Amino acid sequence: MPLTTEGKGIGLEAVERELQLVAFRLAKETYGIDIAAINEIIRPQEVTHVPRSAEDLEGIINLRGKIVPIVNLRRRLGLPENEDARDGGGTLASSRRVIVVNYDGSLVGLEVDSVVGVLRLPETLIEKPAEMVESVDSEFVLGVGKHQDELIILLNVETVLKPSDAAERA
Amino acid sequence: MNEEMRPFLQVFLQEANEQIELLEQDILKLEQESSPELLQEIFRAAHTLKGAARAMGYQAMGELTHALEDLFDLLRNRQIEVTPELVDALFQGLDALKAMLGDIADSGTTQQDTSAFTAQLRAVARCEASTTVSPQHPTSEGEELALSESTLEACQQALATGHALYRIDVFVAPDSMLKSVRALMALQGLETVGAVLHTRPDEEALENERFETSFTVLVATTQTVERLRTEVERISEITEVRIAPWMPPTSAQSQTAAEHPHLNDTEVQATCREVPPKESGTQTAASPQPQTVRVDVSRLDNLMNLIGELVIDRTRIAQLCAQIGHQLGNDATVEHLQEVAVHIARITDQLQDEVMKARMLPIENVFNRFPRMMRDLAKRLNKEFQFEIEGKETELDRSVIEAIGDPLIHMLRNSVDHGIEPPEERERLGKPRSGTVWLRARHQENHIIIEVEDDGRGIDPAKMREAAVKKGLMSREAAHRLSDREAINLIFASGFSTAQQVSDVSGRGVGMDIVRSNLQRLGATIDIESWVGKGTRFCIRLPLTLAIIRSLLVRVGEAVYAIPLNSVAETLRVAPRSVRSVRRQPTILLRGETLCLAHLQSLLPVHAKQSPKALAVVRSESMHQLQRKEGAVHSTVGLEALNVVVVGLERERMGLIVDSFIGEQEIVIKTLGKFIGDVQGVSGATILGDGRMALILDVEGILNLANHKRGVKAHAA
Repeated sequence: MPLTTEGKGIGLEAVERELQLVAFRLAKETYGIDIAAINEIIRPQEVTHVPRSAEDLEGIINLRGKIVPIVNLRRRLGLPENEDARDGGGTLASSRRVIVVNYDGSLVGLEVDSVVGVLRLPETLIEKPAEMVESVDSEFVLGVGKHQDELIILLNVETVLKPSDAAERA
Repeated sequence: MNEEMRPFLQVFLQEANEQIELLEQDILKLEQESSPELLQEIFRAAHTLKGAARAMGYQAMGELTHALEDLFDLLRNRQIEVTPELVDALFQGLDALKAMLGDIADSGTTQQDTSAFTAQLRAVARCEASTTVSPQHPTSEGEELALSESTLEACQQALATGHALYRIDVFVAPDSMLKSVRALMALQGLETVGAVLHTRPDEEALENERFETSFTVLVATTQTVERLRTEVERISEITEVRIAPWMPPTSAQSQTAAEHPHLNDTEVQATCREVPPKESGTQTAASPQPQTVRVDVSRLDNLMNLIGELVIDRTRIAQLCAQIGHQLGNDATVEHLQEVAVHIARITDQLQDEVMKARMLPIENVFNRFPRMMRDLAKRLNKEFQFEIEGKETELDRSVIEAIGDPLIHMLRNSVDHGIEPPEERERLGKPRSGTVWLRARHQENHIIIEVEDDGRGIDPAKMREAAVKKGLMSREAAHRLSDREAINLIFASGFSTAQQVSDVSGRGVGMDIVRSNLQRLGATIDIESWVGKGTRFCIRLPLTLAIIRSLLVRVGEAVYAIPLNSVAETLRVAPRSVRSVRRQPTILLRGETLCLAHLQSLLPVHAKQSPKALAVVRSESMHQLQRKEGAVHSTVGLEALNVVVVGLERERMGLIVDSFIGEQEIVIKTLGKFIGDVQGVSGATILGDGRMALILDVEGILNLANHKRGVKAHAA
């Protein structure tokens, strides 16, 4: 790296670490997941319900021959069920997406209201979660980033999908 | 480890483990009866192991193996006798080697300090050998081969069994960078067509490149000179191969006899008539050695997964063909399509068969672990018994082999600990002092049967009832109502252990119930027969493979369930009026026996919040239609016959009410994955021909759910 330690600032800024994330909407807030954790984004498919499973599990889908569980992220995070979104029917429902993430060696789908897009956030603009996030349990949150005056809650996929205690809380 | 050897680490580990396993089995046999062939095989295995360890740069391991090898050599030359103490020492040596290999597998290196142990083995060798022996590898630069007595003996044996001896001089290109590799390749090549009896310089020197440009090999074979020549000449950088028939010096036999006064002539005769060791298999090479390739297991797994996809598509194609046939009627193109579809189906079947076979291993891969364990158990528990293994050549799928080991260990321990009586007690009872434990495997139709049997004390139903009451598993009345068979089956109930004393072997009270549930997860069933005072027999029925099963597809509401056919007894259509309520439980009489019924849907409720609305967004029109139709059926359910699947494990049966039967189909089992984890009543999922999914029913789980629901321990039979 052609950098002098005292650098003129140009070099330093150029290599400043950025986080690429996929931003999505959930219960009127914007969340982000590190793009490295994401396998793909798909439209919701018909799920096969799994009886006697955790209530935040919508069911399973067949993703090109693989069985992928679909998690209702609202329920997982303890967010309110948004009846408006449901009743809005057409437009809102059609914007819904499933973000398929890698978790512990397998794929898990997270159902979200809509996907905003891919963002780059400089790490300096990400703050550690304090009491800033009221809606979501702080252990699920890696940090809060600012993007064009909008707060983006950075989710920690690992803790969100961690079984047992998360499931009990839901 | 030598850095440049890193790429060979996996191969080394695999081969070293194989050699150790072989050694372990052979040493066990050695304890029973010692034969020159066996000792030769043992020596060879130890030697191979030593060479491999040194080549990889694991010096400590090489030293330890070398110490073992020395002991084997003394045994082979009859300078020491096989004693239980010696066998213990050898086993300890193997254990140390295993520990080292374990370390190497984990970290690529081993810190085990075995120098003390190695010294100990050496000491055993020194004091057990009353006389120090003639040099093992007499080096001779002369033209004649100088052979040790044991080699000469092997030569005599080879001649006596119709083998010819050849002396082969191999010349390696002087500028070769891989002299030792060429030499070892030559030896390996010759091993495939005969037995290498001797090399000059010795194999160790060859491995370490301590030779100039030529070396000499003495081979016993039934093959032609040409065959030998091709084996060596096809190796590159070998410049010349000279092969000449060779006869041992005539004085050899008398010399051998002279040096071993205890080895009289008749004994020599006797050993001569026997076939020499392992080589005999390769030598009597009228049938050539089967050609094999080592394949990474994950490749086979992938292949099996792909075949699984193909099986799904095959079903789909067949369905589409039928549909098109309906739509177009008699059409030449459709007929062609159907022919092709049938052909694809047949090829897929064959492919599946072949891949399954490729994944098959003889069950000895697990069974071979047991004799050692049983020997240790006998010592620890002061029991005396024979351990008989039958049918270890029975082949089954790798996945099953891997999964069956632990349950079998537990059952065998159980048989020794609870079954076989102490020797004194057996004598008092008029039984032979030494008991027997059998482990048998065999094929039966599309299943593998594994039996674990002992001739011990058996299970007393009365004691089982008593224990069940004492442990609070059931009331005295309920226990009293149990048949003997059901009482014996209590051994599979959780929290049940009748051991008088808690030993470190079994008796933690988590034994047989876990064994059973593990087996059932494999799609296996386990059955038990026991005779008081005579013994107990466990019988396990295993599917040939775990990946693809035949199942009955049924529809329940909007879901499709696959019920493994091996737990389906039959399907019935039951008129609603024949359903009686017994203790608030819908029941029918089936051939004179009562059968409890339950709606599958009520046993497997979908969570209310898993909203059907979300589904409605994408649900196809046809699903709506289907729903309405089924709704109509429901409303007239009082008149329509009920569709019932009778499922059962052993003697526990029940009828599951479903909406409709779809048919039989081969399905590929997929797990629900770590994220979802265990779901009671569901063992996995499968993808159907149309891309939709079916959940696979876990019949044991369903029975438990039903029993739980009834709030009683059910003995519906």
